[in-house]
Amino acid sequence: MGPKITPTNREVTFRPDEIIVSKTDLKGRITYANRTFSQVAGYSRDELMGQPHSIIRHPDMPRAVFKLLWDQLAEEKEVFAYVKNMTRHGDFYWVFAHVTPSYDAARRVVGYHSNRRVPDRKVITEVMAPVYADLLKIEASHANAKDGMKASFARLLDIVKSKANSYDELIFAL
Amino acid sequence: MTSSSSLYEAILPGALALLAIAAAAAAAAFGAPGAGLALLGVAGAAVGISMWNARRIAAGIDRSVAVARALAAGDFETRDLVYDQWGMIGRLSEAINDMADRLDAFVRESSAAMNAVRHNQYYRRILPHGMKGALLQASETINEATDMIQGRIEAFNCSTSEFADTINSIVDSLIDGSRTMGEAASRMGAGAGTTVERVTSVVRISDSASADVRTVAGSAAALSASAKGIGGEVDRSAAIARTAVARAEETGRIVSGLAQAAEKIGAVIDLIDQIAGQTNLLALNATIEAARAGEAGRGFAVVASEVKNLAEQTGRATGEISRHIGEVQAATRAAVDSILGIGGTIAEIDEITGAMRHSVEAQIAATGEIAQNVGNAFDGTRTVAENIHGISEIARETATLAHGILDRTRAISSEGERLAASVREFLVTLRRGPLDRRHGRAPRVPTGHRIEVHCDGTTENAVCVDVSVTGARITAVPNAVVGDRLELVGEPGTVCPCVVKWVGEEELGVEFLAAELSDKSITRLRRLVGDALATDGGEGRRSRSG
Repeated sequence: MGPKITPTNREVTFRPDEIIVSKTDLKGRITYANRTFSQVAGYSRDELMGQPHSIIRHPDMPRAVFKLLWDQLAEEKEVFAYVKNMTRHGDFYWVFAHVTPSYDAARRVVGYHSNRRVPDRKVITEVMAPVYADLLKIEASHANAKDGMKASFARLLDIVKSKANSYDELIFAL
Repeated sequence: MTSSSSLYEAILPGALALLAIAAAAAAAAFGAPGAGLALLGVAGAAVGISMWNARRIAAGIDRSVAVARALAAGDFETRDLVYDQWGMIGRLSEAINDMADRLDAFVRESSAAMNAVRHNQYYRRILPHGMKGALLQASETINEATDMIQGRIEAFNCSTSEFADTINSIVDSLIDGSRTMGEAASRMGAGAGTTVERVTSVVRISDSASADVRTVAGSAAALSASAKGIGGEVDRSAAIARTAVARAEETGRIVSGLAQAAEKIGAVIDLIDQIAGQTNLLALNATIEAARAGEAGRGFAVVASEVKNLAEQTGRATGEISRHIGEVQAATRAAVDSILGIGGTIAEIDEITGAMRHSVEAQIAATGEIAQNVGNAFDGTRTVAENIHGISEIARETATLAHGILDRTRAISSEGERLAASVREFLVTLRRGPLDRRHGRAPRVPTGHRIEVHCDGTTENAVCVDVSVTGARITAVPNAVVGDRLELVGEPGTVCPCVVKWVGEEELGVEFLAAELSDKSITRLRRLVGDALATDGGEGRRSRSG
């Protein structure tokens, strides 16, 4: 993809009755995007097709969250996450993402499906944004990206454990 | 977006072509062939556009039909991937994709929520954002149902755990009570045993005491009789003594009478002696007279000498008698004295005998009393012995009863534990009920792969004959019995805890403990069954346990 995008402080939003929908293959490359996705992210669908989903990844997102997401998907579990995404113009938008595996008729996983909804503003400002900032700081504090992620992942699990039985339960309790 | 705009979009190039042809015809009629040709050109172009548009619309409709058919077939992965078409085909494409997205979202949400319920997790709700109309209503209905299920499950868990607590507490107190009772019974049994031993020894002692008492009673009776005999003897001797005293007194009186007679005889003798003296004097006088008388007095003189001799003889006889009477009197006095002494002695004897009689009477009374008491004692010991025999019987019965109680209490304990185990199993079954019921009709598919069977720390190799998500049939493993807990390991890391439900000659059946299966194991089982069904295209063999 083109030149590196500089994040801005502008936020873009979408309506609560809208869903941002995308499908990817097993490697995370986009195989379908709906119009809301295209409109919010500022890319045409032709541009999005075949691109890695990380095209909309915002630098404020800790990598530990994506590790958790992919770990859950590897176990064929659905996963929920509050995610800060970035448009092609560097603007940000928060979503409450629900990612599930897609199966073929033989119940083999053929890809992943993501529905993203408008998140609860209070959860973002009071919980997720501070937690992500904390995790990001841990990741940045390590010279080695791998070590950083390990530490921040451990921190994420600690936070989950201190609040609820499981990550899913915590997310639904928010 | 209105139907009229779609209508214009569809017919506009055609209408344009018709207008151009009409204008061309008019131009030709009015002698302007140049303009007519140009207009024909326009008409031709409009027809071309119309045909291209028709092809585009047809292709778009085909794509939408494909998506709609896929949706109808339950395939939510298919979308119209030709994006950003203009006009009505673009709108159709977006509308079809949007419809697929909303249905897709509903299906994913509802199945995820229901899957969570299946795994007894109730926090997962359908996210209503992006749902509209009937989908929103269905989502709300499912969420409300989940709320209700959660409420019921919580109430149910609450009741079952209360029930379990109650049962456990009852069973605990039952087991505790029966243990206490068992201890008491065993103490009672031991006590009864000791009692039997003691009673046996007491019986022996009591029997011997009874015999002793019998002997003593005999002796006492004999003593009493002999004391009575002695009493009789004493009575007799007292009577004899009294008779002796009377006789002695009588003898004393006779002897005293004898002394008086002797004195009277002495007085008579004295009188005779005086008569004899006077006779002698008379005889002497006679002799003198006779001598004076001479011859004539000679005869007389002889008589006078005879009388004189007689008087002299009488004098000597009375002297002799007086001496004898003196002797008699002395003997009589001595006899009286000794008779008096005898009387005193006999009186003393009588007195002693009287005293002895009192002693003997007291002795008789005492021995009588002793005999009576000993008799009572004998009766007493006999009663005691009988009672002790009775006690011994009772103690023996008690010991038997105690053993019986001990057996019952052991039975109660084990029954109680069995009850607690059944209740626990029952409650586990109840709690995982929804999951099991769903799996109850799960198809069973043949597999035939090697597995490891862990049981109590030992590991056996076996072959999995067939499997469903609720249970499996495997080749027999040694010593496995119904109710055993096993762990089947099909591939490293997937442990399936299960319980043996039946054991055949060559095979056995297990039921998986659904509550303990890890997600990985559940996934593996589902895959195993799902894959087999997908390649089989149908149902596997039915299980023999149903």
